Amino acid sequence: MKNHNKGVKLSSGIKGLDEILYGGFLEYNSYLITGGPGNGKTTFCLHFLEEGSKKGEPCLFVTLGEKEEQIRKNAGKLGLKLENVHFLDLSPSSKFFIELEYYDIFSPAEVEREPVTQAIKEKVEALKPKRVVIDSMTHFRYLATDVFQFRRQVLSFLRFLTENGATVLFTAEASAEAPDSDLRFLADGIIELSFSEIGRQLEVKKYRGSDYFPGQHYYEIKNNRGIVVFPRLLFTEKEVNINFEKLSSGIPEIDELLYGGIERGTVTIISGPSGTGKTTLGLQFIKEASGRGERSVVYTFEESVEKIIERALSTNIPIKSMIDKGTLEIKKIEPLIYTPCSFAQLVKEDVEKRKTKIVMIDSTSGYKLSVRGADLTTHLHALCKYLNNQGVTVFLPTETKKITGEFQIAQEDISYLADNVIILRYMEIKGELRRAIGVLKKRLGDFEKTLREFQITKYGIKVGEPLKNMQNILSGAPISIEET
Amino acid sequence: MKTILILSKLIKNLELMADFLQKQGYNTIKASSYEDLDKILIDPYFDIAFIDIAGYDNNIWDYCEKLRLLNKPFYILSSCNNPKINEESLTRGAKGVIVKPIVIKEFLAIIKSLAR
Repeated sequence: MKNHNKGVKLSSGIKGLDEILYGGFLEYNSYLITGGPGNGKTTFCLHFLEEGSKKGEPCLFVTLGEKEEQIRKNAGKLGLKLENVHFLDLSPSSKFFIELEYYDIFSPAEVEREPVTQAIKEKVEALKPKRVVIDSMTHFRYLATDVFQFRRQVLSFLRFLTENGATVLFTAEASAEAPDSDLRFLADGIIELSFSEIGRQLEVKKYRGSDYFPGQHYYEIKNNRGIVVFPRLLFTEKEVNINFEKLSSGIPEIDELLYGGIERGTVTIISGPSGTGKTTLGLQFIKEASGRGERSVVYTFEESVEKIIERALSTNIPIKSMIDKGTLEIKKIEPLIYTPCSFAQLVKEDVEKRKTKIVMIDSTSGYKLSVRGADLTTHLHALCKYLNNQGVTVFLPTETKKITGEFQIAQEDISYLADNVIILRYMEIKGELRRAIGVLKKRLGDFEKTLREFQITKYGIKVGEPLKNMQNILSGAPISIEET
Repeated sequence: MKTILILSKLIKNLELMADFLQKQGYNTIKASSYEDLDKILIDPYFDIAFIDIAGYDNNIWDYCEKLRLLNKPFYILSSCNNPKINEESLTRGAKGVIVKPIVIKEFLAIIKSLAR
């Protein structure tokens, strides 16, 4: 973990959050976890305490809303172990309702503040906790006579806890009537949680005394795993030494088009209408990589794994033996399960743990349809950049809508992501639909500017000589130069 | 030591008020029903009364009349500032109406003035 700042940091108990906080929470500081109902504020805090209890640190959870029993039960479902976490349950019991505990003669501030304060004071002095969670601080708002008193009480309470050796997380239930803006000023750090149709997101809004990874990061709450945070990918992830050697396609004519092949660690868009052979062309490069003993992963968003295997076999790509050898894995990405960050995390983990050298995301439009989230192009850009920095070669089969006619690289403006653009096009010659291949862009070197005929046969991909005697090929209706 | 009668339907109100007044050095008598009040009024050995009218019917005003006839200074405790309640309270002999929740400082000042 990068140590960006001075001061000891305590792990949050959530790997992804520690990455965002560059190590965790600064010791003896207090942090506000804020967000609407159901965002997992309490669960974030429980991870923090579980982490402390694993290390043998005394940990205290002060609950003013939910009952201890209920919290432990919910934590159990999420796979969190709280056996060694101490609880101070100040939530109202059922007696409050049944045994006429209700009162209105004095304000709660007059009646409850003292016993609540006393109970916390006694517990903290007896336990000397290293980690404390207050869930929620909003309760104290109702025990204060006015805003000024509330601010003073919270400040003094947090100081009491930190001066007694604790690092504190506290939650707040912001509402229109009681916004938590004042608590934001009192905390040393703020983590804001939100939930929308594109998924759960968190953002560090403030972190006194430390750098942090800014921006929105996705997270999920999973049974038996609790909270999993997916930090968004940063372009400046550590670069490995990239060797820009040329990777052959294994087809001499394609290599001629590319003046030897595509460079390792680059992004290649294979653009073309449906059925032109984009995936097959990508698999051809992967077949060659497999021959070199390199591992590749195809993330398929549209087609099933079986279909891809079947298609590859019909074009003489020995895909089954590649899978058996472990040089190829095809992963079907089910729609709407992943957020851009969780998908990026999946790819990242695979690359880092299994030394994957080629990644094919099939296809970019499938990615945009299947992955929930806003600004997907930016996320895809970040993922490609990260993979490049790791020396991974990326193929992005990209569908164009128009079968023939007006030329287009992709439906969305993603060509800027690419170091290389290979185009596949249909062309109609004498009433027969044929395909053409060409290279449009190659950032790291020169390439052949001609188009060639491209065929997919049961013996594999076949590419012809440059179509020098034809023009208007990209229009889809080429004409012979002799005719003109 | 002065003795204060407190009447309220809510048991917790009685407990809180009694605790508070005892800490201030007063004796208290608690009542939560007309029956309790009837018994106390047989031998009214209290000096001041606080009558929380919430939850009682119109008969509460007859008891206020009795307190007035006994020359016992009393205050009405009400959940809201209602002109009708204020008028009725003063007509029946109350020294005033205190709106709940009670502000401790003001309450102490009232008790001290009544005790004098």
